Amino acid sequence: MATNRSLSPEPPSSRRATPARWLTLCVVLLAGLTLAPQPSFAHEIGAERQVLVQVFEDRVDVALFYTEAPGARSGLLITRFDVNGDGKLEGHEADLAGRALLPRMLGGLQFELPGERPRTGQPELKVEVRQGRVAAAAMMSYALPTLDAEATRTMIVRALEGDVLESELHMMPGGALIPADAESGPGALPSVVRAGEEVVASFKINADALPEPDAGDASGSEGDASGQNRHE
Amino acid sequence: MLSTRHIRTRYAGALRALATLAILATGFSLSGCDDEGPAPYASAERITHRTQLIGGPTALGEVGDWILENDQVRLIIQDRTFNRGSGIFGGSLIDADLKRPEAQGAPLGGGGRDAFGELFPAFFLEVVNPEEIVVVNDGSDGEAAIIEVRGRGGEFVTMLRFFNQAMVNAYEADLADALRGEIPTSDGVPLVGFTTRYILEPGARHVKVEAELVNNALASLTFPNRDIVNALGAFLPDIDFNGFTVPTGMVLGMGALNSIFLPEMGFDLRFGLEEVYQRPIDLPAFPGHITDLVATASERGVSYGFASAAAPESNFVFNKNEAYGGQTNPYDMLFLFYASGFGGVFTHELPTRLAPSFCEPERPAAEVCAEIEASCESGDCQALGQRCLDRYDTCVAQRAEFPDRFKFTNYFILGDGDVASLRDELYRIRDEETLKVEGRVFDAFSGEPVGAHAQVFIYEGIEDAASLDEACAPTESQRPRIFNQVFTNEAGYFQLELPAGRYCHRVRATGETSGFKAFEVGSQPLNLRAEAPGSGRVELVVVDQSGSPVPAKLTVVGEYEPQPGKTTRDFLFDLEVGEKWRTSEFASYEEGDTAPRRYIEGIAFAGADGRAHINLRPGSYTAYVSRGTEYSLFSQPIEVSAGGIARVQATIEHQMQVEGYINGDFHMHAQGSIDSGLDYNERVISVAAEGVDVVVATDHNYISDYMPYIYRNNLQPFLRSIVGLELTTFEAGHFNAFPLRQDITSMNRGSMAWQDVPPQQIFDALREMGSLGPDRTIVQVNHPRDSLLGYFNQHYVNALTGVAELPVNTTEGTDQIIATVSSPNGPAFVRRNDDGTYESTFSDDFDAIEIYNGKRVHLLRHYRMPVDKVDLPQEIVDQLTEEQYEALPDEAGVILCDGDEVAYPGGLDDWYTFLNTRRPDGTYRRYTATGNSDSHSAASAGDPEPGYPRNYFYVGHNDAQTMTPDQLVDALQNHNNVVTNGPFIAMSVGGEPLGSTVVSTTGEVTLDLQAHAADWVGVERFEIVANGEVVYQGTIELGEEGSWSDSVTLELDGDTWFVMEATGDTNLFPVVMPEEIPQVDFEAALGSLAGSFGFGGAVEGLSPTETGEVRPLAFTNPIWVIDDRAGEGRTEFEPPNPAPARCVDGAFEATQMAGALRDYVPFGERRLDARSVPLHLHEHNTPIDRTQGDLRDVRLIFEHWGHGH
Repeated sequence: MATNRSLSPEPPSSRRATPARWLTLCVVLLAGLTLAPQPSFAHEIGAERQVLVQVFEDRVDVALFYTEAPGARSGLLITRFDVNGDGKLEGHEADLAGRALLPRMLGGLQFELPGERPRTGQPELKVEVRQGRVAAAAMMSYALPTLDAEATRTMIVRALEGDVLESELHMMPGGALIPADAESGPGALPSVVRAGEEVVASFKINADALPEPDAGDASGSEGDASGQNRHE
Repeated sequence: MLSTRHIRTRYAGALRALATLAILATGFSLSGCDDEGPAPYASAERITHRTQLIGGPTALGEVGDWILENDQVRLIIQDRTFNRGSGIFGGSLIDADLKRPEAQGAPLGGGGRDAFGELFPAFFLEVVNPEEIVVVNDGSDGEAAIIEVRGRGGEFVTMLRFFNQAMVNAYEADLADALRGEIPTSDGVPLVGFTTRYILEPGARHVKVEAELVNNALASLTFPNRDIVNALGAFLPDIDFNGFTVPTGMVLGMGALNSIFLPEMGFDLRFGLEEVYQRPIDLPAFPGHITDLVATASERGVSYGFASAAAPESNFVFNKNEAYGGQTNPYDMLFLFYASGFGGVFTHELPTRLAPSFCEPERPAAEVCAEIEASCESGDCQALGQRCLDRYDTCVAQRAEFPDRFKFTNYFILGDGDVASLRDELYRIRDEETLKVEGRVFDAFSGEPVGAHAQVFIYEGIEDAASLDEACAPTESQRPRIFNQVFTNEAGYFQLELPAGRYCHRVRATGETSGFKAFEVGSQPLNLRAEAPGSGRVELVVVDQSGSPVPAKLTVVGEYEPQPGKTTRDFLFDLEVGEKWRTSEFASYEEGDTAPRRYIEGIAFAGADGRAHINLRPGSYTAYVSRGTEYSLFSQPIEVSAGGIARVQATIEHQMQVEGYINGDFHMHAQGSIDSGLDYNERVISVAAEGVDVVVATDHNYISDYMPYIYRNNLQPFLRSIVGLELTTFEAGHFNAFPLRQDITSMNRGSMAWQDVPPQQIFDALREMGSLGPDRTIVQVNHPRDSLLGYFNQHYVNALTGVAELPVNTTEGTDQIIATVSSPNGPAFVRRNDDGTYESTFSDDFDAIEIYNGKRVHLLRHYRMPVDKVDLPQEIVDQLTEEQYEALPDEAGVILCDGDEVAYPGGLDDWYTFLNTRRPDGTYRRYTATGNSDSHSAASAGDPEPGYPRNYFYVGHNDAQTMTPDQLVDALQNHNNVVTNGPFIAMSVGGEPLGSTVVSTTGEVTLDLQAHAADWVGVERFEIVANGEVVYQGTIELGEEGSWSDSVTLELDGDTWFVMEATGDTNLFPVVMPEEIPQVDFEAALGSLAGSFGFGGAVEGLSPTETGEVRPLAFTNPIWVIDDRAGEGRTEFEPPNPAPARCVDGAFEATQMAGALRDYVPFGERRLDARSVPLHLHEHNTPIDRTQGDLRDVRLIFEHWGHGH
């Protein structure tokens, strides 16, 4: 029996794809919609944060060092801010990136000085790309009334409940201050603050560091008393 | 004497009697004249008997399903069992046909003409997983019959599960879980409920499909989930998510028996859609074709259409009017894609917010919440009741502002077989004014009326044309727009409805399609006379060298002059009007080459009687007659004139016969497959005509047996068939199993449920269905590297180690998040351990791998660098980033990597890896390599012909008729099998054949090689592969008999397996068509979407080419040689287990690294350990010295932070 080739206006296709295949092809890329967690979810796999807090008689310096995880998120950040496409974040690119990153750097952290009202200015920011990952540093200085000789200054660093990035934490006295108690001394304070935790440290003026009323030189508080690490 | 009054009374009574008689007589005569069929009615009920089924070539309905019918149509909705088609869930519309009284009541289950696949609504990509199906109205009240399917959200693609949840809020889903690496499931509490309502009115030729989503949560829901969209905005600031809405629509499985027709594209969806995808489109719009009707046409007497109800508020396209050109209608649909009988349309969109539905504003909270608590079936019901009370007032307030549910309505229409009958019904639905247009088609050559199924194509004339004739005269910038199609009946008449306007028609019967003819529809019905160009006929008689008729293939080849700047579809054939693709001799030509080119005008098959005929366009041709690659190729020039007959008498001789081997194709589709539909008679004739000796019937999820059709067509001397199955999952791979038992009492003849079934269970179940027992059932993995259809791809089998690696286990950071939310999941892919980790369910327990599928040589090997890097054309280099370019290999021939994976893996290289290694469970698996056509048609461009490739398996004789399934199983289990698309090759060692394990005590092995080919096929060279590496290359020179033999002695370096590969230079055209049509360029569609999100597509020029001619290619199964020169008496082959290569950040590394210690810890492996302080967080610029007591100035540290310090 002979058979004519039957009418087959059906568009030819050499793949026998199920519909899912094409739907999936179409939308797997849309799965990129789910790439990023909400900004409020500060628990980010692979990001790292260090917090340094230094308490002085008339201020508190807080420095944050943050490194984004390598991979897509860093890539997206770089893409977003690397206006001239040179793979680096410099100048105003770094400014913009730093400002965008600052909420993430600070996310979930609280700094409290009970009974005091610190005043702060604009944070200083640095951002750079290191081996494909975005790294940032922020420096904030909170001005405070000068501490009385017999007074104690307590600093609390708190990580809020929820998905908050674990942070390495160092709290240290600066200037003429020293730990007010053993629990605030070096090695005694916890070096990590996790979600829902807080670290409390108290500092007081080192009586030996106070200048004699008629010393003459009005030493500043930027490390003079300790005589350490004076920035040249 | 009777008084006058009495006389009058008597007369009155007689008059009354006469009048009554007259009335009664009239009544009888009136009812006798009424022949317009039954009065309109509609009914809905559950099917309890097979006589209620519809039946037809693709009917799937079964007792227990639900039937909806009226005086015009009959439809079946599948019960909530596993989907018998290619879908996942029940509750979908699976059978549909016009009402045919003669087809009903058949005890075998319907004699109808159902040719439909299936249809089900989708909310973005979420479908309904039915929990309950009810008859809401059975129609006995004269109203519409209604069947309702109620259920929860279901995934038909698991890798979209999380994404669907984000779009449609189907289940409670915690984003944080995904961030922690927890693979999403659908086990959470359903937040929304779904309903599909099928409504059939009396007298209607359409069913209304209403799909509804209701908010069952205790709070309002946003669509898409607003939190996710906000999160995206932080990282993708260049994308405007304003106005992003979640589309809804329908998945349309029209089935391969139906040709899809769209206004403006006609039947050319392939290139019409590709052109649409080239147009850039911005979110919230999606790329696709705007249409008001999706239609089918078929000569089988039933056609199917899909349209949307007008909904100005929620129509997806209408709400993006500007993005879509500014001229849309509130009933327009977005046609996204179509492939292999399935397509998707978006019709509506969800509102951005739905209020909760649990509260009832007119009733007090205490009452409603008490009911909710009482009806709660699981969990803390008291807490549920309390939450109800707590949120009641908010719910009522929200209900005042937002709806609590969303419903969208579409129409499924049935027609007589053409598009026009569907369009006519749509005009009725939309109450549009039309006029009748009828006519008759005549053959232009003979002047006689044509018969049935000539086609008239209706075009809308060019708008604003100066005259009627100009409205049908195409110009450079404008042409008439195709929008309808109608068949003629047996007498050549046609009829359809059209609104007033200017139109053009074209006509085709058996020859060419005519040019445009203009006509105008005014205020009166119209009668047209149309002429179809004539055709000629070719008649063939073919015998073999003994003079006996044999099945054979007639291929009629013509020549055309190339036209500069045009492709063949611009002038040689017209896909828009459904003309078939005419394949050319080569897939591509050199620019400037103006020589005439050969192409295939038509193909026909001769059965056991050796006779074939075909109608063709008049012209000068060459007729080729072939019977696969073992027979000679006959050719003869012919002239075909309109109304004339060209006769061909051919003799072909059996040139290649290999002792002990017969050939088989183990992967074949026909009517039982939703994407084939090829009549079984045509299938077995086309297989026999290609010289295939043994065919395994492997329909998708349907067990077929070809033997009855082989006997019916007297083909049993030529062809033997084996019962088999292609168990087709949606995204977890395709598996053939044979020989199987067939259960003719089940609608899919015994196929099994596969949804959410892990591979091992699938393999076990397939073996249980074996007709020779579980141990004698071949389980074959099909096209393992075919993207989403490939088992190895979907289970992330590492192309260099052969081990399945779950992405959630091998990635970190953001990559892990992506893997968590977008990898295939569910029991078919992953198993969750008690400790919360995941492992792959990949199973090694199969027997064979279909390495060579159809003409897809690009899926054979891991794709390698095509040229040296320095020779890369600039247009390719321009597509690469600096990092990508750096990572490329310098030399040609090196495997191309994409990140940490092989960019384009191939099955042959996978098989070599398996041969070289033990599996993770320690076993050594000797998988048999096979090659099969996977043919779905008799001879369509873009679909492999049966038998290319095929297998030569050893049974010890050459008589296919006496071959038993046992012999086939023996051959495959013994690995004595050769894969080829033409030539036969083999090797042996000391007389031991392919598949043997031999022992060498001399440190050497001699391979005895042979090759055979018909004279028009040929084979030119061979390579010997040893443990995956090419160790010897040589040339093959066939003698006069078409045979060659030689021996090669090789030194051993340990236990070694050997495979022989061979290739030839001959283009096998016209017997085997080149692969001329590339896959639909969905990259363009993806590119337009991906570009919006900042993603790129494949690099053109650095990816495998999918088109090309078919040239001879063959490879054997291995011989395993044990190197026992030490005389230890070893009998077990030890796989060589070479050091695996790696892909690292896009670079291919061939040296071993796995065991080497690293002298630094990569950044990503460092974690902030809460319990101990890590020694080094950073490789350099460490801001903190962790020596306790060391005080530093924070300012100083900050100042020193950064490069250069």
